[in-house]
Amino acid sequence: MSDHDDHHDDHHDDHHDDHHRENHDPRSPKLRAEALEDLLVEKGLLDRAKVDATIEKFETDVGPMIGAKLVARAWTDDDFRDQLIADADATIAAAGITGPEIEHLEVKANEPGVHNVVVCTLCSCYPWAVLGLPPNWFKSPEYRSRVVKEPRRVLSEMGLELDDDTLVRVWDSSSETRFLVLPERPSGTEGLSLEELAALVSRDSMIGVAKAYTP
Amino acid sequence: MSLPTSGPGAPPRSNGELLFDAPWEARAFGVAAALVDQGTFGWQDFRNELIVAIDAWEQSGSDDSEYRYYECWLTALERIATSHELASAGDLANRAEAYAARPHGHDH
Amino acid sequence: MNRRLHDLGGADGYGLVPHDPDEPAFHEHWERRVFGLLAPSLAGTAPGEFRHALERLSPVDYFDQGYYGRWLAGFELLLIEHGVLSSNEVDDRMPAGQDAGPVGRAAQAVGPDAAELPIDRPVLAAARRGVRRVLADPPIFRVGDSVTVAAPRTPGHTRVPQYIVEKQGVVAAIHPAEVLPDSTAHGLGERPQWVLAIAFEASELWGEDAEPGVTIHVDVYENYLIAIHSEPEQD
Repeated sequence: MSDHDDHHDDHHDDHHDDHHRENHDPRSPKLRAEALEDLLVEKGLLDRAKVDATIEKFETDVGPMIGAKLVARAWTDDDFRDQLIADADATIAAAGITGPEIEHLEVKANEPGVHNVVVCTLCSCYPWAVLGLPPNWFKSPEYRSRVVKEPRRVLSEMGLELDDDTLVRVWDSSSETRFLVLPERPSGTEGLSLEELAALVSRDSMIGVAKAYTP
Repeated sequence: MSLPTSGPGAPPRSNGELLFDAPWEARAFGVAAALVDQGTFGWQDFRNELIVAIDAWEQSGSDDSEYRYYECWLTALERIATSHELASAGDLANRAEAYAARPHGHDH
Repeated sequence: MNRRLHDLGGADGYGLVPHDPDEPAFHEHWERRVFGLLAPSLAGTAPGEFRHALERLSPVDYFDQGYYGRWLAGFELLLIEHGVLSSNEVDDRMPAGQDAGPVGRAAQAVGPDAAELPIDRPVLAAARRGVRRVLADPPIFRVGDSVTVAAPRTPGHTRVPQYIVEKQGVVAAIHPAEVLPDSTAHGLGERPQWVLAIAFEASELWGEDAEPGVTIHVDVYENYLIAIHSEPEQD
């Protein structure tokens, strides 16, 4: 009983200390950032609304959510799925998606017996406009060197087991073509909304090192 | 754990896109981007300060990489604000002191 | 062909991928904005020029500082080589005792012999956009053709990965034509090429080490492809 109380107190104190430091130490980054922004706004040198807009754009308009929404729509709309596979450029342009690194996009659909995975062995080419920033591991020499040579083993190490009957197709982005994997729709997702479906589509599944989440 | 306070809803964590670990990071980011956008200073000037700040951090041998990157950003931003006479170091310090003296519970 | 530092496909000696599915990417988000802000400057560089700068970095600058570090180093290298920034401007801001930095350690740009590159050819001007070009001539190869990959004959930037050189594959798809980075990175003209996705069986690339049921697709600029006339298969 007393151990529990001690532990609780310690934990409470740590949390309290961090919070205290953050809000009451004038050298804390939180207070410095607030001071800087407020001073500039008060002097008329900075428009706060512009700062808000920049942050909001970053939080909502970029990142793998864009790709996830495409996948969710492809899962629920066969025509859209066909268009995405046949001509991803036209399809995403029609959806209003533009951005760097999308000179030419190809969507590779996973299906029973076929699993796709993407890499850039020469550098770290990545479809930024639909997936946001590439994760560190995608850019690592470990991934770039090994996934073309032993993809089954690399995927297994990363938590994805494929059975022997599943063919593996590795796509090395050595030109300006960029690849997006369309993961298989998990079972038990009938009736979910597009938003709920998109939440199941991880960045890793659109690179090809994971399956989509099951609900 | 802090979640972003602006924008329609929190970013989806299952995608690994935890955008900012604390709201102040988002603010520091947004302030720098806005100032460059409006031409108050050039990106190269800011970048040079960022190089110095990151290098100093790397020299210090800290393991706390993620947190420190945004500290570097803020340090660079403060330096360029003072070098471009947007705010004095004294004003910045005074304001931070004033905020530090706010009663506990200010944010809640 | 000797393996270049950045050309990592199939390189031995690397271990576990440092994978974290919930990796917080926030420090990279400002990097993206950083790159977004860099874009106007990079827009003045030729296709492949920036990548070639990265490829010329010394091993310590390429690997040790991570992705962000090598981007900065590559960018500095270009700014200095283009005369936009003097090396003093960057070095003066470093703490005392800093060495020459990535620029001092980088390899000089060695370009290809232009005579070894494919000839330039006209494009339909209306389709000029980014690095894509619409060529008047169709590709030489068609989906299903067997091809082998020629080694680049001269030094310089190339997008042919070492692991497919002199290997045999099948044309799986035809992508839009692009300017040839092997040429544009060195200011030797566009020399646009069709881009073909070539499918290689793992066994062809890796022999006994190959895993079963694996195909590797690599995009190859058409000038590096050589036709193979294979016997028709019995179905």
